[in-house]
Amino acid sequence: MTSPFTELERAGGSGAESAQAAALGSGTPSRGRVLRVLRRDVGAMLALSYIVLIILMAVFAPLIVSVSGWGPLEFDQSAIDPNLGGVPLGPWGGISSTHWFGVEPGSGRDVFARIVYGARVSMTIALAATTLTTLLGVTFGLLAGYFGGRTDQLISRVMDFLMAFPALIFMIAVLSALPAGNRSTLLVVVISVFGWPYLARIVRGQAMSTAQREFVEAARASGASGTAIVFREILPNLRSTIIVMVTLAVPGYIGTEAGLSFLGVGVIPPQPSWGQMIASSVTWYSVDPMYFAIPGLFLFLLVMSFTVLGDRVRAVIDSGEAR
Amino acid sequence: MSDQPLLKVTDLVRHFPFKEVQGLRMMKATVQAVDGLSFSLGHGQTLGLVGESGCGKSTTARLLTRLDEPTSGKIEFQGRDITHLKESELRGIRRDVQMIFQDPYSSLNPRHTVGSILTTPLKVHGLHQGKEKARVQELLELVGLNPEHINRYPSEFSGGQRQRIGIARALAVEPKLIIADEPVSALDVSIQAQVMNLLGRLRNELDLAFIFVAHDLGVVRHFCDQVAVMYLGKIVEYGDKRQIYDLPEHPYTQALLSAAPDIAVARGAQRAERIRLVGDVPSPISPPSGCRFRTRCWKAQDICAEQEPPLVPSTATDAGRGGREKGLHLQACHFPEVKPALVPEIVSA
Repeated sequence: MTSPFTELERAGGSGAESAQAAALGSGTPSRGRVLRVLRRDVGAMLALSYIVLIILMAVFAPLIVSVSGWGPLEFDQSAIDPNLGGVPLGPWGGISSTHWFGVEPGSGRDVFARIVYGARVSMTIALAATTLTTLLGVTFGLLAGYFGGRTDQLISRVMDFLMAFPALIFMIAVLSALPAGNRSTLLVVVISVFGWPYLARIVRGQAMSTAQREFVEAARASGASGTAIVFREILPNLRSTIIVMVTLAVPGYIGTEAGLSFLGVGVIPPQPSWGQMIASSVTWYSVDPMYFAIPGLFLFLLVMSFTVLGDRVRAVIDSGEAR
Repeated sequence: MSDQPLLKVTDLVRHFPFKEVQGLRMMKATVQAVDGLSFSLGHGQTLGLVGESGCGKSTTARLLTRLDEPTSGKIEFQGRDITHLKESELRGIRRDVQMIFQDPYSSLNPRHTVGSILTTPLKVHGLHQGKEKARVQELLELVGLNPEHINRYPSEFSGGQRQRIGIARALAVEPKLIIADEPVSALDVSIQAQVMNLLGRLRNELDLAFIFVAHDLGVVRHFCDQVAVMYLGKIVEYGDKRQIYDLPEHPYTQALLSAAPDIAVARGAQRAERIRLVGDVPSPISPPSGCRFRTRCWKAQDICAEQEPPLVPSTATDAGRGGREKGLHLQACHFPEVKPALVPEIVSA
């Protein structure tokens, strides 16, 4: 076959093409770019530092407490005034060089130690619940989105049911009815069961639209199996969505855990948690406002940090994909 | 080798049923995307499927690769009926029949490196075990890419280079038949030529059979041995490349050819009479009765609305025109008429 184009191919080779490629700029490997942009973002960096601080606090709680001198369960009768019903001695809720954040009114337990140990509870429960919801949400969302049909019908109806369910009431009922064996695990399970549909719904939609792309057809034409396509071809393309959803889910679960502890169905005393501290501060707020302010501030900052970080990550990823 | 064809398609039909709300009633309707296609293809042959958009070319391509299941009809590959095979039974066919996709931007997973994209089919079929990397580099070289680019992502390549990767992926499993669904229509013209030449070279070197779906008549003429012209889900004319391009008999083929851009005319030559088709392609939901082309045909008579013209050997074949007519030339028109050479040969250097 004589071809009018042979010359062109020989001469052009891939020269013309690589010039074109260079003009397009070398893009994708997005992880590096996201980190680079985030590093210049003061808000995101502040949020990240606070989160890292809390995580370090939770991890090294025993060490930190041994430095500060008081454990979370130790009563210090000398720091409270027994004549006034246990109001901390000294200004600002008893803040002093021995008790850095003051003491708990009534018992004299060290607030700093309880905040440090409370961070453990908040972070463990929130991160465990997030991991579990992500696993459930991503798996079911992908299956519903890719396979469609009956699988989708079944999963979607279950999601509708769970999302329409009055989750908070149910959680309170279940947690107070069940024996208080391992409350933390129970909290994680209950939060996850009601949490996964919110992620799954979004993953399902994205999986549906990704499944229309030709590379999925190409994988089918190569003979790849359904599960291989779902997890090798589609899942990597949902990475950014999942990262964003996860960073935004963590503060939600921290709040939920604090809320449930506040309502008395969270972790069991004397194990400290921030929500529980806020709950017990309610009766003391007029005489000892610091006891309310300190756990409140930690909780507020943690939730805000995760939200800000998630939002910034989303902005960077979105702008990258719009490009 | 037996004279059994590589691929034999008999009466292939694909209707897409859907529901439509009209007022308060739910109406059931079907899109007749492909409606009775028959042809066969021998080893190492190249068939071009041409027609305007919406005529069922791409649906046919997806049916032949069994990415979609036909409503009825029969597809035989090397004598084996693959029409309704289940996904698990298709594995062998997936190795022998590969596809090159239209859009090189959508057909490569942006999250995988070139190496990973090309290794996937090898792993699925357990080929070149332990030596996958060498095979991938060999493939890259085969399609004219730098084997060192194995760890790059698709976004680091241009459209033409991406299409080369798509071609390498199709070749990875050493198929016998490649279905190419408009493989160059998304590319720049200069890059189109390079990719077409690559496909031509690979076809000759690897003895591949091709089904080449396109709307660009020039590309098909350059590449194919046989051509099938499709209109609204049916073949209206089928034949050897020379027969279709030099002696088209069906009015639709003639109209298509007369609309193709023409280098000789651009150089100032007298243009052959241009046939202008009026109106749009009718909806495949309710195609016209009888001949589907009659609504736009200047030769239409009463019989065209009443009787569907069958695909029959052309008048030229009957008349036994010299030595030029070799092979089958079929057309589906009640009033076939030879209109020779509407498009001059592309001038070869």
